[in-house]
Amino acid sequence: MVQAQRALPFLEEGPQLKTKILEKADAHWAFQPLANPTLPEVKQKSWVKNPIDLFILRKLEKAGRAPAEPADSHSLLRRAHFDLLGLPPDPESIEKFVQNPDWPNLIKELLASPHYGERYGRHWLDVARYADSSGYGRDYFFPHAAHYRDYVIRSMNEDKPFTSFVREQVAGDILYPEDKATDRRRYATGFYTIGAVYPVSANGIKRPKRFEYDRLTDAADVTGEAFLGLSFACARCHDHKYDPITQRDYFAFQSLFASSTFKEMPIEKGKEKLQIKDYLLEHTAAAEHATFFERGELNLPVGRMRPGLPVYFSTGKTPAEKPGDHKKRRLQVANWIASGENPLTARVIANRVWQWHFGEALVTTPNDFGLEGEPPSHPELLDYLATYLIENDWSLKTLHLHVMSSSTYHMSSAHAEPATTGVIDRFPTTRMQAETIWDNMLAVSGKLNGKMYGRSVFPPVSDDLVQSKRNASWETEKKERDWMRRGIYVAIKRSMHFPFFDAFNGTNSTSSVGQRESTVVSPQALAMMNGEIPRKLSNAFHQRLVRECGDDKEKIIVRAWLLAYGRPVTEKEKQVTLEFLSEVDMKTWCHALFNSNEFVYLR
Amino acid sequence: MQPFMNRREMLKHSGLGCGLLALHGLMAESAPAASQPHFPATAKNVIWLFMHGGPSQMDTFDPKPLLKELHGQQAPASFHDIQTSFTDVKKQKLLGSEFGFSKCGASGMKISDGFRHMQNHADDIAVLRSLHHEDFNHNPALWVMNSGHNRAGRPSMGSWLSYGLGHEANNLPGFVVMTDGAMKAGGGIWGNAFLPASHQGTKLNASGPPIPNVKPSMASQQQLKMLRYMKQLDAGTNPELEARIKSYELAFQMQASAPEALDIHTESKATRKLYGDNQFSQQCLMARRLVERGVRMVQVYNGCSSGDEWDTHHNNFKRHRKLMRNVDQGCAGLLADLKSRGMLEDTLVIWSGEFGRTPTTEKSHGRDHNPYGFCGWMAGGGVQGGQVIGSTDEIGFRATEDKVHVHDFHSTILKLMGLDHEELSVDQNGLEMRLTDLHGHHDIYGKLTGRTS
Repeated sequence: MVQAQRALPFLEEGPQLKTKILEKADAHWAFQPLANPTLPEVKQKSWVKNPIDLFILRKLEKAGRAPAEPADSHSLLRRAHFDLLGLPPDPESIEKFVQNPDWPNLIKELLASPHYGERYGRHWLDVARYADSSGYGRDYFFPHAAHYRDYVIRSMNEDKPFTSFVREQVAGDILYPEDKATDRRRYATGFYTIGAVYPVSANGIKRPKRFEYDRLTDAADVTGEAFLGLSFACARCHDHKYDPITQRDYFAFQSLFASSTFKEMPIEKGKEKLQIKDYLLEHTAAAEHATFFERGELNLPVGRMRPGLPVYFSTGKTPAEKPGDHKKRRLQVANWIASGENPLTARVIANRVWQWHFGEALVTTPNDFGLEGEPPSHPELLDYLATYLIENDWSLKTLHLHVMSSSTYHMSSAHAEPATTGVIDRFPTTRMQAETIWDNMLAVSGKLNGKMYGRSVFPPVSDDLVQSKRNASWETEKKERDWMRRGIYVAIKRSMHFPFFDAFNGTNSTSSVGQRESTVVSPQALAMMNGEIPRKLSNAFHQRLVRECGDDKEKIIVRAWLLAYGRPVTEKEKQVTLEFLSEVDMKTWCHALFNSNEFVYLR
Repeated sequence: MQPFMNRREMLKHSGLGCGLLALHGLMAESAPAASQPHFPATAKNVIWLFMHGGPSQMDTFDPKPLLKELHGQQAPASFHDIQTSFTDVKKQKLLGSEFGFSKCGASGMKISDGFRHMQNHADDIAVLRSLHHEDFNHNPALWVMNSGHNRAGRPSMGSWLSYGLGHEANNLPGFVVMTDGAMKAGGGIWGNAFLPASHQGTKLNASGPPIPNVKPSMASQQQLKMLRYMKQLDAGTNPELEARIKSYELAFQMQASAPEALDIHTESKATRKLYGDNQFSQQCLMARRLVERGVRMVQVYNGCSSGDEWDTHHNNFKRHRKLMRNVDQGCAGLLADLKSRGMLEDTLVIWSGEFGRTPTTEKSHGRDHNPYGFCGWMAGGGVQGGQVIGSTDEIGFRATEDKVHVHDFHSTILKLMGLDHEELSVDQNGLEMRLTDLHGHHDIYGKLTGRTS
């Protein structure tokens, strides 16, 4: 910490929120306590499997629209597999399910699979702006990031209550000081040490002031967006224009993180090459405070801010600290977020869960529930889901089962009417996200190395790209098997994203991402048609088919359909395929299947 | 230039004769024919040089001698009610420009000495000094300048143009975007929203190969058969799936056309020298090559990477000097090159940011955001150069004469392209959606072009 800043005086209470902002905030839907909505009446009662359907159907009936027909069992099985595991069903499980379509049992089995954590963990890593390096200047590699990623996967698999998940990430080290061996103490707070902040400038100069400020900014911003759907960031430079957060609130909030520093852990033997040591979040001996900077500019320090939660969103002023209390500051943050009285936490995660199932959220600005965010398409449903989550001990898996048991989840993606924004009358047709396309190619080709956890891996990339980046390093794995891992284990270097993922709107990793973009552009087609890895994997798919089916073309086609599309081939498709195979070799055909729409779309 | 074979030639050279005639049909569908415009168009293509962060009008194309005289004084009371992003106008002092301005061209228009190359093009450009809108923060302003709406969810102008006029080229995207870093508002600002997905902007990579994987991995007949087969399999009716097939058909064409289109090394030394040799210059040159090959609109975003934005809250003059120097030669080179090729006649070049900056200070030498009056310029595409349209007040804060709201700006561009902004609409949830919302006029069209309609 820097001496000059210590000498700054403490700032006292600042001006109150403007009445205009207060009035709007008091009336804002997201800041109201959760309503336990009354279940609406509907006409087509036979469609309703659980209360979720009541809210969906009510809106459809009001708009004079009908829900889509139920999807067939093959589509449903594929949908559930990709939804919960991010992987295709294998032919054996397809056969099993078609013979005995026991949906609740299927969902329970999928939820029990360790791959669930890899799928939903990846969703959370978007929100947590996960990356394996610092970005900017030297793009320092973060060996500790992988530990945090593994912690997230394990937590998802254990189905720990979401509030525990929050509390551990914010204050695991304070909650479990004795628990030295477990990742919830050591690595959960990696949430704060994987941000795009770096202690040293591009030319190797240490810059403690800038680092300290950047790290507190990152901590405050990601906490607000990830857990609360509040964009604090605006309040760093000025009182928030729309939300009830003042600039003093903002820096008081930063102060809650000021006594926690990144402790460098000893480097394990043999890893000296790595540029920085593991970071662990630790407390300083003495209480530290964030500095209030005018307009958020580092060269304009005004005074020190005492720690405090944003006044509007907490029960008023935070009491003064007693000696030693500074070691519990993050616990205050954790308890505030995880308290049943904070309506944002449950609403924000319920909305995310809905989005992760359907691809489209009820609140389409999942990281902004403030006054600038979009209102929910189904406000009562959102509160119902949030309440359901709380009543079921914040168990995401219980919520998954509930959502997936609805008629809404069972709807087909086909509908006679054109799709309309905000109307849920079908299951959306969505393109798989980058990592899922990758996982799907690996799984279908039979090449997927299912190893879980561990250091992040580096698949091959083109030399041109590495050379074009200053300070980029990308040490491709020597053994193929080592990079043929699920996408969640592929390293995310902030200065150079893995190009295949980048082409398919991979995560941006700079700040919390609520919803990825999903574009359809020709560079994606080029990546699939001409990229070396899709080629290689479709060749492996070909070898697999020959290995499993010999040279019986029809048998191969049937098997290929089950593997690639999760359904039996139709007679017409078989004919078309045989015709195609009379013109091209089988490898080209396998490559064509990887490129086809059905391979990368879910419906 | 070795253009990629057209479809007929491709069939001829493929040596497969009638076997491939069916594919001819496939590819024909992939080439959206250019549609009939509503009016006689003076411009066919657009190159929009977008200065991300908001360049200062008082330091570029809108000299304010009085501001210099009043430098250091408080802003007059009549400006105190202006709402800006970070500063309270009544507490700020006036900040005169440190840039000198020179009389340029036949018209004697004044251009900042920070733009030495552009000073030679005064007779090519029409400076708009009265642009304005209401959004004083970056993201809403970036959205409103691109889509006419200050939030996500509406199609970008490039998508509207591609949708309204179709592609001229079937071997390149209709709308191409280049940047030099990540955008504040994200890639959605060149998105298609509710228009068909094939009209979204295709972004070129800012480093490494602009379009990776462009080298074909198999013979083209083989690929064509593959595409035909994929199309047979995906007889879906979902618009996004159809768009994906189209993206493959385009990708197929781009394998031959894109490397050639983007290879600026085939340009003569003289041409390359004209543009200069930084990244922006190269992007301007690529933009010309793309437009030459029928791309409807190219957007070049400059100043995207943090620290190098036109967002000069501090050190306004030092940073503007650097930023202006960085784009000056590229802009000028582009105009000169287009002109010498006869392309300026139907290529509309636009230069603007998402807003301008305040004539008042932010700290000692910074300028805050200002959407209430800012400048840009247009050249080519029927625009008569050597004129200044509109003005701001005496210190450059608000647009006063011949005001051009962002909707009017869009409506005028559409008109130059032959499109009626009230006709170019689609039905969305029962609402008629337009680029210009419910507003927009093109009152400046006459002045801009010297035409009556």
